[in-house]
Amino acid sequence: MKTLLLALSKGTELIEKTVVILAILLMMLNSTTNAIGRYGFGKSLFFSEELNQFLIVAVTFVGFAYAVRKGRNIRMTALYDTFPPRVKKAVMTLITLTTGLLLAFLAYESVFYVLEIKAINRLSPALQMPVYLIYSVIPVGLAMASLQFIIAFLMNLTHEGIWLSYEVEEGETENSGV
Amino acid sequence: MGFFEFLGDIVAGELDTYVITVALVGTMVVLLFLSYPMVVPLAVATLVGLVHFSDSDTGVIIQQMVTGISPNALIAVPMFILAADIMARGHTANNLLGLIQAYFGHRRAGLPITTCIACTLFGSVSGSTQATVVSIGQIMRPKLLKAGYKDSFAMALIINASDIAFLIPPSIGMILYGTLSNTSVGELFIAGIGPGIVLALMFSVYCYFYSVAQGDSITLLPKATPAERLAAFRKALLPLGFPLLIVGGIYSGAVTPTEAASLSVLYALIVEVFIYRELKLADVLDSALSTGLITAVVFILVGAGQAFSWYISFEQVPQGLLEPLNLDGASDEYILFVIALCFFIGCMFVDSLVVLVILTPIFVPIVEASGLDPVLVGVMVTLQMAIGSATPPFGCDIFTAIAIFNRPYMAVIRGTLPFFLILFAMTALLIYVPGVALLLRDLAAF
Repeated sequence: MKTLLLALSKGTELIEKTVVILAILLMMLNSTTNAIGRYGFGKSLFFSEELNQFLIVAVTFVGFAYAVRKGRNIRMTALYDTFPPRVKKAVMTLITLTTGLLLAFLAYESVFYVLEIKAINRLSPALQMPVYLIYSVIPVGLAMASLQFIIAFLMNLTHEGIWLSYEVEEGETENSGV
Repeated sequence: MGFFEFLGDIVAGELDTYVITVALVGTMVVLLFLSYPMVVPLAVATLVGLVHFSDSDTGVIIQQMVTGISPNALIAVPMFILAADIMARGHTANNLLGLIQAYFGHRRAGLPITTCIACTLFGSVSGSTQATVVSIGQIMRPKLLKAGYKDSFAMALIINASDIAFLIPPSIGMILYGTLSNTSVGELFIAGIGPGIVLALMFSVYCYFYSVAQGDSITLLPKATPAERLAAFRKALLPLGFPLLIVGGIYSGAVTPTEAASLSVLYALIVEVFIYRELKLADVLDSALSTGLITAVVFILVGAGQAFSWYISFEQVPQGLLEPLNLDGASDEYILFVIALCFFIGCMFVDSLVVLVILTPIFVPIVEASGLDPVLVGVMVTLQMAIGSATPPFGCDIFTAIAIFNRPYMAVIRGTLPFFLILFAMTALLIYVPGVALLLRDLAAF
């Protein structure tokens, strides 16, 4: 069971990185081309806003999974930091399990959201793309994030130390924010 | 009403403003303090509301998350982060500092004033206070210490001067506020300039008096020669193009903030990759990945916050809560004060972004009803977020400083009180003299 999860985790990391990098670069290309086009040539790309919206959805949900993997969530640890190690470990075990389950539930809900959009066959106004194809990243991203928390939960159960994710043990990440 | 009766109402799922508020806020506070990732308290509170109180379909939460991250103005956030990330890897911060030091370094309090102005200028390149703490702080702290300034003063100065970056455009806080409250981001940007500059001035004045009080224990730098000044100026010319592009472009009405954001990425790339030749392709990919990561962490919160705010407005919680505050017919100053106080208290304890996402939808109806200028409110909110991120107990800039300077919490916050008082004065100034923010906006071509 655990080896299967770990194999899944390794495979999804590559997907996450590729999607995030490509989406950000495309967003940059799309926005700058549009801005230059508007000033230099008086023409905007007709699909620019729409493409950016799709890219933002992809970055948000897939990038979230990547952030979870890297242990980079924004958390308020002021009270938590005062706990003794054993309590910390217990709390973190609880957090990883329940957050994993919550995200699995949200992934499950989002499948229905995507199916609903597919059923009404919503097309994007400018590109005439089926919207459900793009929004499929929502359940995928949430499921990958959920997987990370479940693996972290198993790590907390079976290993010494306090694990934020499979890769990241507490104390290794810098405090991250915005 | 007795305590147990109230508890009974919560358990029974009574549809009453106070019962819902206590239950949802209670849920969020407990989860926050247990140190759950910030998205969890927001999502769980929304689910509790939907399922327990309103007996509605939970699918709406996903739909609202997507709605929350869809506004086109939000594209400016990853673009400004990317531009700042590219700049931070290159020469920008150093060159800006060199320029200011060449002109102010030899004066009394020259180095702290250099820090203030550099933070303000760097704020016009990057939209984040933490990036400013890292970029300026790492260069200036050793210099300040070497000149004889106390470490507590140096760190407090760096943390608080970095706040200015939040007010100076581009500001990520302002983009998010503008999106959440339907206020023009361009106008917010322009309105932030005045208070940002006033704040830099007030900090500089304090630095001057501090330096005088310290007397001879502080060494001054030798005066730069005209040739050195010219060299420093030429080096800073390219980074100075940034504020010109962003502020000038938006001020003249030529570009929207979103366009300014994408142009600044292009500018950053040209300067760092092609002119300074400091960055390779691998660095740009790295920048893209780290930008994506930060964007995702922010936007997942914006999405969850949208779901939460949709739910509370669906049950008309804000209206019910604000009724007893008696804001109808209250003076503008009083309303602005209440808003500032709520954001300030919130930001002291919770990440300013979370506060923004939760409180903005509550206050928007009031601002609309009162006739207060939403741009003024936006600047006030941004100022409070900036103060909160530099104020104990949980300011994120403090934690950034702890991480990069490797000093304990108490040492980092020891010197912050005077700065804190100045920020308070700034808040009062904004309430009684709104022109500080609005004058430039009114003059601009909107």
